[in-house]
Amino acid sequence: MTTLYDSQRSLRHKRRAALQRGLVAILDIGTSKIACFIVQFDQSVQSSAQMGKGVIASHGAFRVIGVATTRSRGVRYGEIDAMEETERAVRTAIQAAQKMANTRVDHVIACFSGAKPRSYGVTGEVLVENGSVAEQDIGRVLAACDVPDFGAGREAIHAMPINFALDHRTGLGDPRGQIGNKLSVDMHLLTVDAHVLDNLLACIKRCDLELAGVVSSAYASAISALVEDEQELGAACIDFGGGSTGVSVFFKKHMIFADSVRIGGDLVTSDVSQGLQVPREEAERMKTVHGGVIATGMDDREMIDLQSETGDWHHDRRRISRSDLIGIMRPRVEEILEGARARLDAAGFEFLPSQRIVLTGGGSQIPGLEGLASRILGQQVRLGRPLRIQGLPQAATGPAFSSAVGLSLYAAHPQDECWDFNLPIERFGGRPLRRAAQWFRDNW
Amino acid sequence: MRPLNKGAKRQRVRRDPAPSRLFYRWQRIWLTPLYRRLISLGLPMAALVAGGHVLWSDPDVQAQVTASLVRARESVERRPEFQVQLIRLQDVPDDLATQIRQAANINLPISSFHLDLDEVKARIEEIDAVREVSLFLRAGGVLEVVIDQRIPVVIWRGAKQLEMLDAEGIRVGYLDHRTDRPDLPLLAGQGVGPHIGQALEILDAAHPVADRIRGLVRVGERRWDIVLDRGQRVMLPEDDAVRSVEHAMAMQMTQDVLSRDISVMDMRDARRSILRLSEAALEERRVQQAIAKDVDNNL
Repeated sequence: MTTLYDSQRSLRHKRRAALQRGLVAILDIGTSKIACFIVQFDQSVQSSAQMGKGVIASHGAFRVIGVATTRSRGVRYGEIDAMEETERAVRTAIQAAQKMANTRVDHVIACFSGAKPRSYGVTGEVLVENGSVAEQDIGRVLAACDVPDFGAGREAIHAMPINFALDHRTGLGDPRGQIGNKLSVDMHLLTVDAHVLDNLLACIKRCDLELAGVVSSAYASAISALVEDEQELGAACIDFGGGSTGVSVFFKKHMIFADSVRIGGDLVTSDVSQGLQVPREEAERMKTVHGGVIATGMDDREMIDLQSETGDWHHDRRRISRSDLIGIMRPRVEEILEGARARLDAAGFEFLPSQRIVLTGGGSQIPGLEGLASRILGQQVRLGRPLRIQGLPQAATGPAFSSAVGLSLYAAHPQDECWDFNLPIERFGGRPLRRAAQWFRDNW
Repeated sequence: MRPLNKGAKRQRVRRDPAPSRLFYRWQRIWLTPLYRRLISLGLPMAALVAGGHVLWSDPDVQAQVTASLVRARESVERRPEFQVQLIRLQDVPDDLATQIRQAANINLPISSFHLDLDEVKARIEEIDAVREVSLFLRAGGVLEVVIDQRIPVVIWRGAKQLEMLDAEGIRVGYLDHRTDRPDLPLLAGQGVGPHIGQALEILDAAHPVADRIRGLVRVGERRWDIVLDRGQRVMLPEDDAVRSVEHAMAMQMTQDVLSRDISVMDMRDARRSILRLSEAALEERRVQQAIAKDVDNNL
């Protein structure tokens, strides 16, 4: 936990440096596209937002000055699969965004959807030292959380304190300064595969950039797609990506659960490609232009030409009805939704007071998805588009960009995480001294 | 077999234009303000300076450039607007004018850029007869020379030559003969310069015998003698010389002393003037005294 704490803390320092400089690149590494925003922060608004003007004030604190998207290469299931290819794609996106912004960025906040996220609810309990809760008590209680054994090769990317309880009072957002004896905390810990993080770090480093933060894309897209009421009362955000579908649950403005279904829009495309014997690009085009999930009688009469160039006249001159296409797409989409349903059931979503479900991400643009989803997930389903942020071009306001937009919001107004608090010194043991000695040895 | 749907739109995926790592780095450097300024401004400047230096280090080029500069300068200087055609001297006697022209040593026509007026002025002021000179470049290529002349008031007999001096004792010119300027009084002796005013006062006071005066002699650089014709001298004291002259003139008016046969009238002691007889008068006196003695003895 301490090495993780240190590495996350260093990310946090870099992010602070980036905010100080006022420029940060937002990188959404998806399976089908890589989006890069360059976000400029206005220091004056930023400081007024920190003085307690609230979340909304921070939305005016930044402005998107550069946007670029590129087809993603070398990414599978939201994880970097071929480093070289991904690096080239990231370079393309970063370069185009830099060109639009006409500045150079050095810090990157990235999000990705894969790496098998797993949520843990952990609790910690500690006795308050001086009668009232001080900053260091919070550090102590966070350090006292009994971290489950999440296995080797996994790392925590989020560790958010979501609820504080003081003696018998629970549901405290900020217990500092309150009088009590026993302070306990509920923390949401999200772990991912460590090698995915390492790959991401290496990829960013190879592009001469510095990673200033890593966020799960399920979390990022929920920030932008859920409205404040939904975040408060309880809602799930389902982010239909290319390679994987992220699921996150929000309650009381905190993410309490996140997971991902490793099926995405790309699989629907490959189903179409296999089922109709057309090239993958053609299948992708047909899916986006003619695709749907609910067939009507009208669709039987709407014929689609299949375009392929094999040279076989009979093969190249096929026509199918839209119902055929829907018949191919629907089972796969249902499978995705059922996967999401299973994740939500596992998380105990049905016990939340409000069970609003928001569908976002590029895959949510399939016509009729809303109707299909309401059959599988429950009645309260809506399609979510990301919040409007300043300077974002119209082309980048669609649901496919909800995680990038959410990441920008996160960069402007980050959630408190475990590593924002100073852990008590005894956690380190003799480390500071050892480190000082090491430093002397290295330098003299 | 050729494809039959040749006219159909080809669904070729455009290659994603990924920048090379080198180009990516270059663009990042280019977007850094410091480097950008350095590259867009510093590098061309450095190249220009280096190129200029290389070019300039070639002596041929250097010579060409200087030559063309000189040509350009000369073409401006030679324009008729800047040519001096004439030297105009006003109210200057001819001999002095030729002297000044020689001293100025200007070959007309000359460009006013080549004319060093200060130097010309210094050269003209070296002429004795010129107290001060002002030079003006007038329109139409005229150099006007305005001269403040020195006026000679006395002639001084120096060791070799006769010199004309002005009231301040500064030489105005040389004379070959005394008779060239009979109107000026003659002075002699060393250290005359600062006392010319006094000499003029003495001469003024001695006007009753003006027609007899030959000149004044400065004796021992401290006092004056008036030299008259027939070898007569009036010796004047060091101070109050004018009063002594007046005294002597009074004696001359009443007793006609200087018409008599005396060689020296010594006025150096104000209480007691001494007259020295000439040799002939002395002899005459001796003869007369002897006759008187004889008469006395014979009586």
